[in-house]
Amino acid sequence: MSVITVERKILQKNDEIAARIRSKLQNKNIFSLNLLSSPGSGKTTILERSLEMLKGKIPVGVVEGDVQTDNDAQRIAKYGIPVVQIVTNGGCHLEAKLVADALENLDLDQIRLLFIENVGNLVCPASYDLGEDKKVVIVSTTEGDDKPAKYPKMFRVSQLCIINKMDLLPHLDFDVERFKRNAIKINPDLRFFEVSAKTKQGIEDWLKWLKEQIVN
Amino acid sequence: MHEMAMAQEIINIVNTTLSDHPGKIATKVCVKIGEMAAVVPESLEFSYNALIQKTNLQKSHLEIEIIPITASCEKCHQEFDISDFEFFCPYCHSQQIRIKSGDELYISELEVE
Repeated sequence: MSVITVERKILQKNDEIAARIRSKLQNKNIFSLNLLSSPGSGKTTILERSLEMLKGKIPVGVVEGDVQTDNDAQRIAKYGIPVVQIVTNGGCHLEAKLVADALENLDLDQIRLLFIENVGNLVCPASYDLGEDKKVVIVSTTEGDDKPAKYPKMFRVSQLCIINKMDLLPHLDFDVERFKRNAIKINPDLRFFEVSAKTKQGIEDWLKWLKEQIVN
Repeated sequence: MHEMAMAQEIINIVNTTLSDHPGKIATKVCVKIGEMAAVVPESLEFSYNALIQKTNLQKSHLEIEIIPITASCEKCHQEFDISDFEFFCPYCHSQQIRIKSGDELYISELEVE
């Protein structure tokens, strides 16, 4: 019996590809966001509201990740935005390689802002760097306010947190302040946006922040 | 269940390593997983054992070591473990802390014969 030292990260290959994506996007001066949430929290609807209001102001590109169907890409394409669909065929998360391939099909000279909509899942996507500038975790008020405690890694690795479906708050037990306290215990630097993609409440604040990132 | 994808990456790395050591057969793959890595050890082991069936690695098994989340406080300089994913200093309650371990996800070594 003998021992061979390996000392290699399991996700090294993914991390190397993500680093290449990051430097490519930086060279093209593109600000990129990885949108993460459980299924049904309103990722695509928030994206639609954002695209509506950014139209003609900031050129946007979208990479859509789904386990099956290109339904979401069809929703985005209606806004006249370049969009590439990744279908993972059962895969529970996007990996950097999939995103790198998808970016080959986007004209990066024509966009300044890239949204990568991950597969709806609060566990697996947290482990995979896609080369994005920031990770955005989206939670809706119809989910429990203990989501941060249940999915700590996702809240730890994200820089931004959008609380969606704020219009439903009067009908629910979701306590926004308790949710934020739970999240801040895990990640004190998390920045929150409270929105309703349906009524557009709070979307302006979110877009204002986005525009600031692009000016800088 | 991203553990299946990770098990496949482990197998790829083990095979790449073995290609530099012709004639050797892997018997044990030592993996370190931080508590913050969001990997379920049982799922990783299950996936690995399923994937190595009838391959050159079928005699090997994973040995998983869990690394706790540890941190030091930037204010009072105490060192401590993080429990329940509450990222603040238990001594002075500052949130200005530096994570020292818990994010690991790597293969440390291989035992071969």
